[in-house]
Amino acid sequence: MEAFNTFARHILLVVTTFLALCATATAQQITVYSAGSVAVGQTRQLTAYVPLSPNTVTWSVNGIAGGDATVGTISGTGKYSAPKTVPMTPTVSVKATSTANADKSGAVTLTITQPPVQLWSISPTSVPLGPYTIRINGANLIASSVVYAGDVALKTTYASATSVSATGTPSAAQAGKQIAITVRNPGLGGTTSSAVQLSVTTETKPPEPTPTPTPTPTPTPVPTSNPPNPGAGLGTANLAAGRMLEQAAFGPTPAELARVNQLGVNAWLDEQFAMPESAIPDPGGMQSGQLQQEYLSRLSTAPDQLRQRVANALGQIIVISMNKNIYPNEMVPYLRILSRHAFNNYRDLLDSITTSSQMGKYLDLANSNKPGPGGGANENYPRELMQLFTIGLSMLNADGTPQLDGAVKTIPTYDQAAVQQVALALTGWTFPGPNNNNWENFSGPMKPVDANHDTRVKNFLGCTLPAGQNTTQDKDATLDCIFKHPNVGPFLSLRLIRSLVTSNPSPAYVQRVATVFNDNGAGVRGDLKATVRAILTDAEARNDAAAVSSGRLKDPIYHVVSFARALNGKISLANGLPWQFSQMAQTPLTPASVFSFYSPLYRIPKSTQVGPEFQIYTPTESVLRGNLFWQMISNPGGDFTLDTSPFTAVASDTVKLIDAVDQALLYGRMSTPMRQTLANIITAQPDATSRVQLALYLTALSGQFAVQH
Amino acid sequence: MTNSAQFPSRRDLFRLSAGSAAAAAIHRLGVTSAFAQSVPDYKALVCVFLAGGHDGHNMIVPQSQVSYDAYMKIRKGLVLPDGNTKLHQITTKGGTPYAFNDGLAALGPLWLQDKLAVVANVGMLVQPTTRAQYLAKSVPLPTNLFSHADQVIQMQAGDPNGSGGTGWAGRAADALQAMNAAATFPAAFSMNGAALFCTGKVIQSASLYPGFDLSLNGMSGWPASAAAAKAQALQDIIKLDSGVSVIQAANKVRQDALALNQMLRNAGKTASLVTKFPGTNLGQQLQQAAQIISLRASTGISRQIFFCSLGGFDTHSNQSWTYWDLLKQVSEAMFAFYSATAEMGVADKVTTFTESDFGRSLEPSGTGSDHGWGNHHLVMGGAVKGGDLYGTFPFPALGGPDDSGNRGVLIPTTAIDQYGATLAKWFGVDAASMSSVFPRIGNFTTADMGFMG
Repeated sequence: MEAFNTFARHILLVVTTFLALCATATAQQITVYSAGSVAVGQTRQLTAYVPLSPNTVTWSVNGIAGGDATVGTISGTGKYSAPKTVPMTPTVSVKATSTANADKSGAVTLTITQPPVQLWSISPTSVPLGPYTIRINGANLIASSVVYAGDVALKTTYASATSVSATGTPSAAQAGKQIAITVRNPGLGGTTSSAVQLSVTTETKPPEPTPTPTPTPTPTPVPTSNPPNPGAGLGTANLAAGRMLEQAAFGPTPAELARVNQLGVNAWLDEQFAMPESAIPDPGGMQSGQLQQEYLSRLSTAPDQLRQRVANALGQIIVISMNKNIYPNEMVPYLRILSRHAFNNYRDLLDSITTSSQMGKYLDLANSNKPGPGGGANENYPRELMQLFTIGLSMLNADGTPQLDGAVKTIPTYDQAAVQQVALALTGWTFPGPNNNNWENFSGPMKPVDANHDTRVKNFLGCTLPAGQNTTQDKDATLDCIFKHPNVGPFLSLRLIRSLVTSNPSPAYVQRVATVFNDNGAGVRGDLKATVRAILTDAEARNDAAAVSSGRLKDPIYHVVSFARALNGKISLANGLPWQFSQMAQTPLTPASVFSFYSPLYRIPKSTQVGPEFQIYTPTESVLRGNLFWQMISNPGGDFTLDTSPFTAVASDTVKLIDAVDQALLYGRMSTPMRQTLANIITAQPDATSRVQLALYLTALSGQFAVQH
Repeated sequence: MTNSAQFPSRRDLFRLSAGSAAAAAIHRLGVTSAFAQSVPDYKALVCVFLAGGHDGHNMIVPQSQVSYDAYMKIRKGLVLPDGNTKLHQITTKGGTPYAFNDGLAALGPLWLQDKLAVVANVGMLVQPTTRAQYLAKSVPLPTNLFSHADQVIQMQAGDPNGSGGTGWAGRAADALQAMNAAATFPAAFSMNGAALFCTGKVIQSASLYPGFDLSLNGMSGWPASAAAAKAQALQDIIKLDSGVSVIQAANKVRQDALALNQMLRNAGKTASLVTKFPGTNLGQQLQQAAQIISLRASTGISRQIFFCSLGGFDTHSNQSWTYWDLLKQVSEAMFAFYSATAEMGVADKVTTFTESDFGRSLEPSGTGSDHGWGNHHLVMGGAVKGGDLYGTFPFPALGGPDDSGNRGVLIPTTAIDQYGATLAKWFGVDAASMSSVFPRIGNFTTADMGFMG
């Protein structure tokens, strides 16, 4: 009865080591993921969640250690192999028993099925009252397959493993209604397909001509519009360039794809590094919404895509939000700092940010004066400077993994006293203006006011700032101290890799990038250009064969911008998209807090894999994104300019249409089953527009397009 | 809280299969056995966030003569009753008279039935703070008091720095994850867009806007079989095994959306509530919450949190009518929600409470009031020890012991930590886990205000 078990499902083993990050007092029980069906001869990887130490388990099937040929076998790592034939009792219990404590175990029930029968389409899809014959296209059909109309078994004639026909007669009561057509493969471990609806029209079949006893009239031949076999497609000649542009740009446009193919990765990077910076318009006279619209448009059109991509990634690390800095002049200079420094030195970026009046407002460093006796200075910026912009909360190894102490706990990078010391060191900054404490003014960077600076000695992170230094000296010394902390390289490398390439990089990849951040080869620390190049040219980034742990879920803005670019299009300068993105938890330039739109540490629910963008990808957001794709495809209006002509040009040729969509959105990686599914549904569409729209839409909705990989 | 970036072992891959069960249910309309499990122990926390900083001073007004005289003297043009707003008399268990703003009249019966409590002078604190300590700045204080952007974050985060990127209810649901292990359904819903309140380290804030159904556009067709074929094609595509776990997880979200859509549609058809909700935005949000609660048995969820919000409380001017009208929306929506939970037999399993950015100044400012700090809040539900007032109701006095300055900006006498911990304890968070929900709860004398049964 597990019609959904279309293809072999594998679940790789995760013996979860629940780090202190999420650890709460959890009941000590073993949970095995997950119940379901396995077809004969297929395998299924099981997962045991073991909150014990050590977290290893032994596996058994129906009480037989390792299982056997009758009930199926299980490997030491939890990979279950179903038997060759369905056992007399088609359900088996697979149990994981703790090696640490034999009393603790968890089990899961698996149902062994025959190869699952599938129903892809029926023809015709509507019939008049009276006897009818339908043809079923599907898979794993067998000679004993029976077609059902609702609960009524139909006379079924087997043609092939992918085709049967069936005859039936709807009851009068079914006129004007729909009947659910399914196919069942009977017998032990039999399966039922999903349903396709057959409509019964109210008209009656014209009366048959005078009945003649012989010969029996053959059933009226069904018009067959069998979908073509789309084959494997045109290959992946554009895959390398496409992947590069997913990581180094907001996805490929046809022209940019050609450019990377022409120049190669390194020369294309050189070209991008040298490209003039796209201007960010002056805020004067601009409305807040216009800044957001301009930002979206710029991401879709700017020639200096790499700079836009990196500046955007930096903006998710060093955050200012328009929910507090609501006017364009409270944002634009900050955006320019990110853009200008995207390929410069991170230390210089930190300096510009620390003294920026925009950040001075957002995290309250502006007018943080030396405190009176017993008091403290404003800690908001000092805390986030360390926690979010540079070193993080716990000590890291050179490869970005956390250092653990003897008790296997993470080691804090700093304590509250350090925050207070940094806060004192960063006192004395105010908005531009004539006074020692000025009202908000965003016409330039903040100015130092030594009269408001705390000149006492400060100690933090192993550094000592001597007494008597002025505002600027203490700021420089503070940033030097933090910037030299060994965490900065791995911390920032990991965040940038997560933003640009993959959510789950190998520690070795992080370490290779961090090494370049620490020293660009010329003895310079913090060279962002060298760091970005190291990220994008690393073998792990350039490996075009996706590994199980590859990929990064596109965030809403990236997802939509990349779709527009793939259709050789752009977002208009005046667009209504900020509101739409706000519904998807990514109001442009307006993250909810200094922690940005989503946490870089967020894990995919019920998984050990990191997937930051999943924090704002729930069922509702998935539908909202889908609906926006549909708007783009069906009615782009004034929000987008898109070019679907390459697809309409081949609309009448199903295979060519699928090839065009496959190349534009998936760089030739569309799997053969997906191509067949598209071929089936496209063939059933009544006109060219519907064919193009559906091919693009269903592909845009796929996980393959949602994840850069 | 840690900044750990990587697991030491990274063979980590978990391909999700729960979505396939959900998908199967879609194919067989009305078949919910895939989800059916007994839910012996369901509880929900429902936050109604009064955005903008509501004026608690005029939500509940002291009626003992000496207090009311002091109130009248300070509130001047904002004194209730006035031309717009009458007062609705209530009495605490101890016999102290108060009056609700008549905008709350719809909730009056629940006070009499002991299903509604008031918690007085709640707000964001780092530790207990006196006026002297505040003025001397001799104790740590929340950052950016009186700033909307910061206080909205802090009150939802339950953190005086707004740090951490998680909300206190999200962390409470994190702590109780094991109770939801069997569920294929979101544990946290915001009816108002992704909310920090509902975001845990593990728990996602699933959004569900009132009136928004989860049907994908562009999937219709005629005849119906054509639409069914499209839906089937989408199902087939998102069920394909890509061999890449992030892709599988992305497909699962879309599959969950299809399943959720079907469940909500079925709920709309079969489990429609007799209770009528007001057509206001908040009414629709709470109706949506009620509808999701009605699915609890079939979704296997055991602990759920909901976030609803109504804006407009930043009443710097024209407060009188505006505030009455807003409270009327709140009380009518909350009463309907309570009635719906009673209809479903879960009145004592669902607790609804208000939060806000901050309170407002006792002293008026023109026809309105200014940003304050401590505020009075409502807690409603069958498990509430209602008909009473908890915490300490401040005596109205400018420059008095509860005033942070001289305008009646109250220094909270109950921390949001204590308010939330009382709710979280009822929700099921045990004492050992409470510090993961409210890390500073140990700074305060009690973690249980006593208003939950």
